[in-house]
Amino acid sequence: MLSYTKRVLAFIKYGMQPKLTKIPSHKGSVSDLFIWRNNASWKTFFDLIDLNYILDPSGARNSTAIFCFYSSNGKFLGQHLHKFDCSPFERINLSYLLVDYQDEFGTFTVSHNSDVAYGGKFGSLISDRGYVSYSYGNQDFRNYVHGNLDAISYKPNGNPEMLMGSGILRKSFNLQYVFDSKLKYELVCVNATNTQQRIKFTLLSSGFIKEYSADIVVSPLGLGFLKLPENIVSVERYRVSIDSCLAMARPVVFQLSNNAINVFHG
Amino acid sequence: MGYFPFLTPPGFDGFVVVHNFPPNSWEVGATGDAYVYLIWLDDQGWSAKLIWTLPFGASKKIMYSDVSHDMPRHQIALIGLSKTFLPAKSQNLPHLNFWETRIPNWRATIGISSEKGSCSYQGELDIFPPHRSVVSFSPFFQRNIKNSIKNYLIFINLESSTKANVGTLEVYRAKPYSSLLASALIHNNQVNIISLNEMDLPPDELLVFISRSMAGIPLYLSVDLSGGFMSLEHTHPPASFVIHGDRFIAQSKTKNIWLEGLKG
Repeated sequence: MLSYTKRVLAFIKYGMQPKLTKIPSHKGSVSDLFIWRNNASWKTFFDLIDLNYILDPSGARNSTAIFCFYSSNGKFLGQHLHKFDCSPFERINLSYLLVDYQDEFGTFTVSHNSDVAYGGKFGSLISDRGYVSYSYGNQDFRNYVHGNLDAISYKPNGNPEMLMGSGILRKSFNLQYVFDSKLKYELVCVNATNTQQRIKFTLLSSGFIKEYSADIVVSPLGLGFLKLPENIVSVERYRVSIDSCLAMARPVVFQLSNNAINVFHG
Repeated sequence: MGYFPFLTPPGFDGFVVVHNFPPNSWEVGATGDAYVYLIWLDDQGWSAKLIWTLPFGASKKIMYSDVSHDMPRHQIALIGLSKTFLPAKSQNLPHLNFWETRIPNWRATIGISSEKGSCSYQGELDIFPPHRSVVSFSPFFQRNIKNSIKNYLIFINLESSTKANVGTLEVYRAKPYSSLLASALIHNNQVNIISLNEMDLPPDELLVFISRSMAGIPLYLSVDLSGGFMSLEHTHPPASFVIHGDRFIAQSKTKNIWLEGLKG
């Protein structure tokens, strides 16, 4: 039998860990909180698939999807309604939708109308984890990354319901990736919780030696963007640890090398 | 504990970077040494060879070209982490006795490289049960005016048994009762590399890739040969399109709609 102390420690270790995501309080569709980038170098695309059609291709066809765009600090910028006509798929160049905004990066969600949702027949919700792709420079080649978090749902009054789990204890997400100090990296963490989140990025060389750290406060619906420093890390290789109260502070990593990009989930 | 496959599309060298530190601070504490095994399938069954001992906190990059001389071509080659020794020969895929994590899974960096660049994803590969199906909706096919982009489907299957199976991968437009556009043979326990450019697929359409008798991970690789640009990503299974409620019923029905509605 576990001693009282061990049981308390086990509760702290496992029982107090927040759930990765929460169940929405209503029957709307769910979206990841995706990242958009838009400036002279970066373009963002979203491969919009009619999920109602995928779930029930013989059903009534009046599917729509709504893009909601937010700034890096979570301020609502605007929305775009897309009506699926004859095709269940369209690649949306978000640069055309973001032309009125000065920000160079931010977040967005994609919500599908749920009134025709096949999943709704089973008490289920549609979830769009997307396929976002990015192009860099004057290239027309796109680098894909998928979402994987049920982050946001919208209430009937249009207000977002934040589904990302967070707790009271800070903990570390150790990116299982080796960074090359000769390459350029940008790390992005989104905040799909109701509260501001303080996210600390720490660069570690071998032997867990701290080479650099940076704290970023991220607003709800916003993102934390960190351009990893060049010439600070005095080693060829390093890794990154991310401390926060988020259930999983998993970043999207943008790697740049000779105008080629590699974008992936950490 | 998952396995980490080498990807070996033509003209590229595959690599795996394994890590002996956990992905979070609370599921697993400090671990000891990790034995890094190269695992492959040959005529005698599964073979495992200890190639490195990785101390806690360290990572190791293994290039396929550095280890491929040990293995027959066209068979799956894996990297596995274990804290105990593995049998050199076995008839079933050796179990990896290693620390497990859930948020997220313990992963490696899996990628390909050439003289012009590299791309990778964070992943792992679990054993699939035999005779399962896959439905993959893919928008990933890329084209450009210069016609310099090559697209591949990398279909990875891993089963415990050494018994060989062959299946068929079918490609359709994402429209029920549409006709078969193309097909290719796929093999179990293999990283199947399928050139999509040679299939003459319609541009800018959502395509459905179906395997009726073999499970696997469908990875899509696009390479711009003119600049060395690469993109590597897998599709979501239809199961991920609905969550909560009786989602397993919804997911099963959705998959069956497409399996029944598309028959070459």
